[in-house]
Amino acid sequence: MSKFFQDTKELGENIIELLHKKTHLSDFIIEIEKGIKFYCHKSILYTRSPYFQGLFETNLKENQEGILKLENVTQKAMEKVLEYIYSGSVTINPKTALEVMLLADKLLIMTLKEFAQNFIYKS
Amino acid sequence: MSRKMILRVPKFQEPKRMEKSEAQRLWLLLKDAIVEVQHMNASTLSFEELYRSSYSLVIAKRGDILYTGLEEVNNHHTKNLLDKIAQAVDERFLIELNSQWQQYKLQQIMIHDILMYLDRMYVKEPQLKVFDLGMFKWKQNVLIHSQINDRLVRMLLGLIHMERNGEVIDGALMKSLIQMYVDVSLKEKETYKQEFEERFLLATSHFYKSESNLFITNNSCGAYLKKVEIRLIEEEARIKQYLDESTGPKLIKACEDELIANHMQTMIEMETGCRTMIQNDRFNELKLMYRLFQRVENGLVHLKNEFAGYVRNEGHKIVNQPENLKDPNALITSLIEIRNRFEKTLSQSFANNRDFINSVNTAFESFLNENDKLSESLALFIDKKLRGGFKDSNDQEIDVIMNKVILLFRFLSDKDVFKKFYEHYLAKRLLSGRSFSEDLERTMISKFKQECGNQFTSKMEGMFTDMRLSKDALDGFKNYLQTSVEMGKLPKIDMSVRVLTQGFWPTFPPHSCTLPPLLSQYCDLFTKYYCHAHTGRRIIWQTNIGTAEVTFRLPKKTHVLALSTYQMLIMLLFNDAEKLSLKQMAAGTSISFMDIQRSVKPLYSGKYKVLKRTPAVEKSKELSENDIFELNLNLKCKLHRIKFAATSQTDSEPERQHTRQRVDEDRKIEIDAAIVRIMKSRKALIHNDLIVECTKQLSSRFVPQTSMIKKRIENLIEREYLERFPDDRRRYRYLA
Repeated sequence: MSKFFQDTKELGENIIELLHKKTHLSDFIIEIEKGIKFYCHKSILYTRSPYFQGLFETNLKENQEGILKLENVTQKAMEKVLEYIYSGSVTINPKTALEVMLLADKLLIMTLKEFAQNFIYKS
Repeated sequence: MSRKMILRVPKFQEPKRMEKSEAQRLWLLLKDAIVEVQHMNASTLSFEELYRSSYSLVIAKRGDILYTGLEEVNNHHTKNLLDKIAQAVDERFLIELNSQWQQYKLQQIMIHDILMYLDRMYVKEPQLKVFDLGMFKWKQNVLIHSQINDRLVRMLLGLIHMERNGEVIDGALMKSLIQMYVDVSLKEKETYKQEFEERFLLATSHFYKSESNLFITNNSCGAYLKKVEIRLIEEEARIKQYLDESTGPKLIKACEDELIANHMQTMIEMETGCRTMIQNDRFNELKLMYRLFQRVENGLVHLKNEFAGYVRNEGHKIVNQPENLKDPNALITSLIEIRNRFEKTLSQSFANNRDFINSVNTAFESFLNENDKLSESLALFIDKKLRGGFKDSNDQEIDVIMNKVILLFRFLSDKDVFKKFYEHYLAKRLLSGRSFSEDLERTMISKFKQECGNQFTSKMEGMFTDMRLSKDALDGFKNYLQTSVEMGKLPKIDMSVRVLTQGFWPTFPPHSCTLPPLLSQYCDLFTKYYCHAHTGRRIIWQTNIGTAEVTFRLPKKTHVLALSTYQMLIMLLFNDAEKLSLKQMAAGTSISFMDIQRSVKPLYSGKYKVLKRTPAVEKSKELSENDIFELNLNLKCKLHRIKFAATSQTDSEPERQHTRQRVDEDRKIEIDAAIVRIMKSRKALIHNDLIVECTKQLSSRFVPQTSMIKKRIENLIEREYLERFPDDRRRYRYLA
């Protein structure tokens, strides 16, 4: 008889390692205000956000150069969204909630957007 | 997203509606990009910049500008493409159309990606999604445009026509262009169905109508069937290669209609058709025909009826062939042969289809009961086999034949007639010691028992019991003779007696004769012995079915003659006379004149003649009372023992009549019993219902005639088992 086993917690913890090791295996950079860079991975971004899906599929400038410059995005918001993209879990507070919601909306990450939205509504 | 929710957050301010000029600027930026994409040189553009523009327009409530703008750009672009494509000539047309279409599709995917935020957050039903909008514009301005659609469909159908005629075409191109009709369909493939599929199916029907008409007139049915099979395989392949799979069943149906359904009658009737195939056992062709006919509605019904008709016809010929009517063995052998043949056709060609088997069985039932010969012929056939016909067959072969006999038996409607004949011949085999093997006899009977139950075979089994008990009785009798006082006075003869229980055995027509004193003394002794051993029993001597061996002394030689009891009595008369007339023979033996005639015949007209007619006359001449016979002292025969037939080979007509009469007698009893059984449980019944019920109850044994049932009802009324209702003469009541 087969038995189901799942450990998403460890999965998330393992994958987010990729993000913390900076350049390790990174093939794509996201640069935000003040020149802050995030070293990312196309395959992860592709699977987690329709925005990135479109970006990599169309093969325009960013994909060719391997760098995406985002204006008007704070470091905190970017960190939170990437944390969610890589691990599937995130903690937000009233300070970051709005920024996270707006960025998630733009990147079309609907689950995170709704979470942040509900957080804002209830607080 | 609900704006109300967001308003509760104090820090968040709803984006103001963008200035029109700013919106216009963003749109122009996007428009340029889209045009670049449409010219296939977009790779230097920034995805984020374009995406952000569309994103900004949407969150600033300017999605409408973007959406209508996109619609216009697509409109413009597709109109330009139309001119470009329409100019292409001949086969360039399809290639140009296809390459533009492939590019257009890729562009639309890219535009969709760039405008993803618009697509997800702005577009609401009934607006078309960004990609669908692109497809719709292509359909509207290119595909169904009068300059394209008709030309395209005609060319596609032309290519398919060519391919059907054996030419090679570009399957990938076909697939891409046909798939285009599916891609531009918004729901349920409506464009594909309307613009392409309908015309394609029509062309298909048309093509196969003319091809099949031509082919079938110039070829044999077998060749046509093969052609059809190949065509169907080709069309199946066509579906996989470049048609939409939803067309599959419709295409195959259209082909089957034209290729099979429309020609079924021809395929059956044509000279090389179904009939000939059945006649000549063309199993493979029939199998193919079966497979193909199976695909169309009522196809198998046609084939089945044709086959059953043939079976009935063949059977009818066999049961009415004059030679077969004279020779039961040939009749049954031929029937078994055709049964085998049709079973082979059924299994090899018709997949042992239940309906086919049933209709063949119905056919057998109908021709086997066409005349009343069959019951007797079947009984005679088995008789011959069990008298030694099985000698050269192994167990398996015997079993096969027996099962075939059972099969034919199953089709008989008057099983009781068969039973009477079977018992009759079984009795003869047992009494004359001609049965080849008791094991085989019992096997055959057990098969009947399996088929019809105990009641059917109880008498037959009784006969075997009698044979065994007779042997015991005879042994006892021989011991008794040795101790008997009277024995000393009598000359020794070897007498063998069989005691037959009345009821088990067929009643032989009663005859009487005078036995010579010695024999009657022995008979009396046996009666005395037997009745002493089994008190309360009565013995009636049936001398007419006995046999005897007598010594025939000629001047130079001695022969042993194996004779019937009657023949023995006749021959014994010549101990005291040189010449005897038939009349004198009858007087000397008290045998009826008719039996004398029948018994004498083998003695003077067979291969070995122990009697001669004086004066000599033609053989064929009927015997008369005053014909005179004497012993043939010049008999030339190398054999020591000469065996004579008791009468003629098969049963004489009177004997057969007798058997039939007994069947009728038995039927009366069976019908009476059935009527009484029915009335007892129903109490009252209308005439017609009683007849129906009665026929049903008896159907496993025989098919009673209505007139006979009526007579039995009358008879039962007379005997006061039933009465008519005084107010309704058609109703009967059971009288307890």
